[in-house]
Amino acid sequence: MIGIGGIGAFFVVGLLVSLRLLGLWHKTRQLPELTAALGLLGIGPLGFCVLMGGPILVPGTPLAHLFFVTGLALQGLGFLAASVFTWRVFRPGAPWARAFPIAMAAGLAVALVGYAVVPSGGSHWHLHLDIWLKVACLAWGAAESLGYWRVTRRRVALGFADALVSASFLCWGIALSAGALGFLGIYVAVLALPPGEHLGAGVEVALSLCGMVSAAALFLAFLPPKAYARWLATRSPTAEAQS
Amino acid sequence: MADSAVFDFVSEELERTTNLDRMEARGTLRLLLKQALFDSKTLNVSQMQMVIDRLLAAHLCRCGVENPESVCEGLTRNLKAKGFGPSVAESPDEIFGRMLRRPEATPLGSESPPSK
Repeated sequence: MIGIGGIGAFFVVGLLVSLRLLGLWHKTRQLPELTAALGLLGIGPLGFCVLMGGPILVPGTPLAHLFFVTGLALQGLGFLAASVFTWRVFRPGAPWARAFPIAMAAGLAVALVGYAVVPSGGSHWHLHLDIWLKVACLAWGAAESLGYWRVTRRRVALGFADALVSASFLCWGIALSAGALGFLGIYVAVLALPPGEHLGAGVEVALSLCGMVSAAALFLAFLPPKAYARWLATRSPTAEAQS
Repeated sequence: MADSAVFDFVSEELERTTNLDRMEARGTLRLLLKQALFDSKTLNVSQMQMVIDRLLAAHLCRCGVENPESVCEGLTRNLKAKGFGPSVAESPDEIFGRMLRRPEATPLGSESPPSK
């Protein structure tokens, strides 16, 4: 229950941001808006809600496993969208970046089959494949965004970039990093847990913290309050020069 | 990876409208792009326009080019008339700027919310 606070905040902010981006996509019809929205929706609110729906609504029945696999499939689609976003925004001309979503989707599909057919308590190969691909997807996006933030931060100092847009790269990178850490935390916890045991309070607090950091960073990245935007603007050299 | 079409176009225009030769024109643009931390391979129209607006005239003046202001105006006019449009990829700045619902936000930074 401890973990609900941070994860809940991530769900709410993820839902708000993805709905806003879907609304924006409705106007612009551009791929980045659509993929970011579907990525957030699939990885966050939609995927996790279906994943958790089984144990809550139909615990211990075959339907629970169906919920679980369906949730993973939705989450996989979210990760596919997120990797397309990273490719399209940061590496549109790189063939390897174009290949990444395809390879990841194939790997996640194989892992999904593993979840569906391998009995619980058996080999964990599908878990390894699933989590590492998801962590790689989030880490790649985070690295690209944080790397681009470093460049734009210097451009802001020279008056060649927008301070708010630059900060959104930092926030998006932090949100993805927190997400990657959260998935790694789940991975380590699941591997360390004896079968049938629940996650410990420490793990739940750590996951909640990741969710909270991710939610706060997402909020600042895509729903920046006016006071925050003003604060960033006053820190930029162009504003200092005008004052 | 080759230089972007925008870079090639403007360097050719710069060569055509000034006394700079091909190497000098391209070298001038590369120098200014480096100052602004832009990459000639991924350069798009808005980034090029920023360099023309903010750096090029002063640099041409220092190089002894005649009428640098009118050269820059001509480059701006021809760059717009060329209409690169969607064939040139958007920069991450432009995409994130749009996603922040700030369609006016360009990498210039001049469209930041007014500071009080």
